[in-house]
Amino acid sequence: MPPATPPLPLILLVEDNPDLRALALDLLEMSGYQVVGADGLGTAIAAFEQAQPDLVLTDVKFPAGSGLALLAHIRAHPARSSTPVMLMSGEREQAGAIMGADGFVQKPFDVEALLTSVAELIARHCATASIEAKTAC
Amino acid sequence: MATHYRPSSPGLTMIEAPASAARNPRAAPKMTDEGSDRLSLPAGFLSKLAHETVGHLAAVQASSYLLRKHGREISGAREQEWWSAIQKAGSRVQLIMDRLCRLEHALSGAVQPAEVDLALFLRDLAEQARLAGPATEVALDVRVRAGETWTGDAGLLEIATECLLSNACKFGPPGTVAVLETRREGDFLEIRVTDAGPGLAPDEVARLFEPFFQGRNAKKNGGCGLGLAIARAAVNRLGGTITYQPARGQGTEFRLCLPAVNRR
Repeated sequence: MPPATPPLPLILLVEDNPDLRALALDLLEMSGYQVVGADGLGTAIAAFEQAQPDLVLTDVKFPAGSGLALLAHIRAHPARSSTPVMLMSGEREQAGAIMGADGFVQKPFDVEALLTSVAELIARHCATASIEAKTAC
Repeated sequence: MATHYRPSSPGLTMIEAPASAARNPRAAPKMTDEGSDRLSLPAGFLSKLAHETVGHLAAVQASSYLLRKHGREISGAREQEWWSAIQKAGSRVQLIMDRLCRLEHALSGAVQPAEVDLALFLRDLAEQARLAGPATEVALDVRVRAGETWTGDAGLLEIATECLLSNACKFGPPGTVAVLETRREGDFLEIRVTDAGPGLAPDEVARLFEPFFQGRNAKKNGGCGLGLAIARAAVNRLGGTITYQPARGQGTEFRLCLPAVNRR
């Protein structure tokens, strides 16, 4: 029996601009990831609880809530506080504001650089998770 | 004799040298710089502007990357979606730039009062809105008494009214009629625009005139969420008010209440 193919890493993508969300979803899927999309804080928290992503890639500003509130929710999570979080923003955020995030990318972004950072964060997270749980990510 | 001002053609509004805006006790606080004669941008406006614009630029970057990297592996339909995303982002940025020019004019452009033939002016504006809008087959019924005039800045009146007519064309269901009518109330002119569109949810009403705010029903119809904020700035400059209420049955009703003679 052939060995089971490990599931693709899962990314939770939070972006309120529907066009950009659809494109980023295409971009990540075509780069070898599974992606769950959300358009605001409420849907993002629900998706985080349900989907258990390997990485959260989130816009900082959206109409209801913010990426920073999502980051705080994740860091306070009893079981998955170490999930890597990468913030995206059109502005240079103050260092204090993004403390606790694993990565930050300023929009409009260099796509290659974004994908490289995403791959590195997921690899690091999977390695840590693998050591802790002795399971493949 | 009334001067016939035709609304300017769609596109960029010319910016003239800033002039002191008249004090307006009823101006909404968000558009007023206390202690100054100049109206100003609301707090956080530039930050929201950057957020919106950069989002569209990021869409262009993502689309062009996808086309370059994966354009040959995917179906023609998907490829078209990515090209369309670039085109759409460009149109949105262009619209934002156009609206910013209008906002600049509404906030601080030179005011040139003159007598305006309202029937001709508003019919021209309605026709432009109908032609510029999507093919939604919404009819615009302009009910203005022939020969009725108003004295004030025609450019500001155009900015204030154009957005209401454009929204009526965009959001009205096909086959419905949007109505623009005028009425005199003492020293004031009331311009009322009613449409049969989906209207606003109650929790959205308080944010209606906020820059870049779009109601849930409006998001799928394009636009950038600046039109009503700019209309309000223009109305404030004219010394009037703009109000919203749900229309009877279904739809929206906007009322502009302007001093009948505005020579400031």
